[in-house]
Amino acid sequence: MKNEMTHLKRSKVALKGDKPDKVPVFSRDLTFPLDVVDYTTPEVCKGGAGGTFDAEKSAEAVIKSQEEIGHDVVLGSVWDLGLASDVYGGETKFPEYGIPRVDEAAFSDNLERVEDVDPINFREDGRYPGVLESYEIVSEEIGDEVGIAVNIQGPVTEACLMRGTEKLLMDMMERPDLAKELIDLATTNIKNFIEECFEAGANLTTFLAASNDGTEVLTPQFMREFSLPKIKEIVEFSHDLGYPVVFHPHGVFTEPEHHELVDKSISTGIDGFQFAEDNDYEFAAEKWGEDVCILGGVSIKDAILPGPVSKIENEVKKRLKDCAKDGGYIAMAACSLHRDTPVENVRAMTEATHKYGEYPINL
Amino acid sequence: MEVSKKIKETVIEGEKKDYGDLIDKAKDEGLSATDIVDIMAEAMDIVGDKFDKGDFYLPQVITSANAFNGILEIIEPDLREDISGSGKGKVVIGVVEGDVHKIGKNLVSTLLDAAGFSVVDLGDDVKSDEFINTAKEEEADIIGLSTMMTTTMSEVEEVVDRVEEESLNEQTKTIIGGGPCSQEYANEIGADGYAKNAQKAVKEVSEILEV
Repeated sequence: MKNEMTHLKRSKVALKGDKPDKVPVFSRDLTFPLDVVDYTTPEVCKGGAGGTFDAEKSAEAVIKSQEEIGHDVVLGSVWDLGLASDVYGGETKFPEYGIPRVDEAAFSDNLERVEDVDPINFREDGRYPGVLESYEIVSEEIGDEVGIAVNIQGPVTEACLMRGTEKLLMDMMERPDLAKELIDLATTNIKNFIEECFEAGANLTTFLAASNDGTEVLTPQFMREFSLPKIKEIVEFSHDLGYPVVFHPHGVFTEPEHHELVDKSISTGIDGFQFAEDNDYEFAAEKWGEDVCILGGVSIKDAILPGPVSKIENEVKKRLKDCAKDGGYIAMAACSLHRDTPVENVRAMTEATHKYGEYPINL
Repeated sequence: MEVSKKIKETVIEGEKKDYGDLIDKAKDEGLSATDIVDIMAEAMDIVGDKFDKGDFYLPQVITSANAFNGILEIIEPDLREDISGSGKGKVVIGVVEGDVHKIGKNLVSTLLDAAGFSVVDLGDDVKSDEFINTAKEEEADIIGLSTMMTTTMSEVEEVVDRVEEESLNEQTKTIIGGGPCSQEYANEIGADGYAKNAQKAVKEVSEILEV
């Protein structure tokens, strides 16, 4: 297998919609790296001084995971979903070998409190300083060669984590102005976090992990009203910093009734769209592949978790055939990767992509 | 508008209001608590169908479920008098350990209730021990297991395995659901049923219990 480009260069070219030497892989491995180094979850996510995030162990996990798997794009740190909620008084649980989860959302009992709180200071508040330090270490160690993406929740998704999904949905219907205040706060925090991460050494793209910004949770009207205007704001902000944006809302967007939402998402200026499970990727590449970089497509539930390796290879080949021939495709799972995902299966996804995804692709 | 139609519309539209007047009128017209539940069950059937077809989205289903639960709360004392016995069967339901995504599970719980099943809802982040012990204590006909995360699918499998290991499977069947689950996965781990959404969960439970 030829390596005419670095991981970073390969990823930049694909994100621009062009053909690199071979299709890059972005495993968006949020807590998966912890299994590679066999650290417990609390040891890293709150095991640093004073119960904060352990930057050195997080960075070690990210770097060793990249060495082990060979993917082209990493995140600058191990990532969990309770970071923002914790700053505002929420509680996150850290199972020994499990995935951190928000146990008590910060605004679950009192949304009105949103009017009295300040945006997060990422260099001082909660566990964030450790996260940013992890980005710095990863950047220093592998940032010349490997793509480092900023992973952050989408605006509605982040607001859901701070309020509770069901409650925020009811707020959107019953007191939309207050719901928008929380989403505004989330958006300000997202933009500030993006800026801090690029300053800390991220070098490739902003990735908006926006599960609850899509139709799996929102009505199309809610997506248009509450999410997409904020996505546009974040995209413009990231572009001003010089970096593209990938959007990953959950929902089956290749169904005809949702096509206009993809069109509207693209009109916010996003550079990439990661389609979630159950979408028709061939259709997505055909319809939108000229407008944005297409990402994703390797099923976690049907291939990466259960295996075997041969099934993963077949799935990768199908995606390469459907989405990658004209460039502008980054292989990744249909969503993020966490602990308890078989390491050999993630490696198989990467190896198969690099093996069969060399340009020109003949599948 | 006749009162039964109004109840149905209230649930379908998810109208939020004081339901007391509506229920008083229903009683004045001779409707029993079980009649009202039947009307609401029909309404939730329609809501489920609309969700299934993509005409309704999650927020609309939640508001309908809230209206259903609001009315149910008012008529519950009468309902206890109306219903003798355990209805169509008993379902112990919960989101597996490590997962706190409970919206889907709540909807299944509401629809099962509406369809006449007795539901023991254990909430979210439920340990396998709690599923098994509750199923034994309640002599459950079904254990319903929900997860929205690929990473907690192993917890689903653990409960299904334990049902078999502890020989509960003659009395208690298992049904699974949630984003990453599939019929293929249910077959692989030996669950008795799988449902893609809340509406289908009721259908699947009814088929398993032949009611």
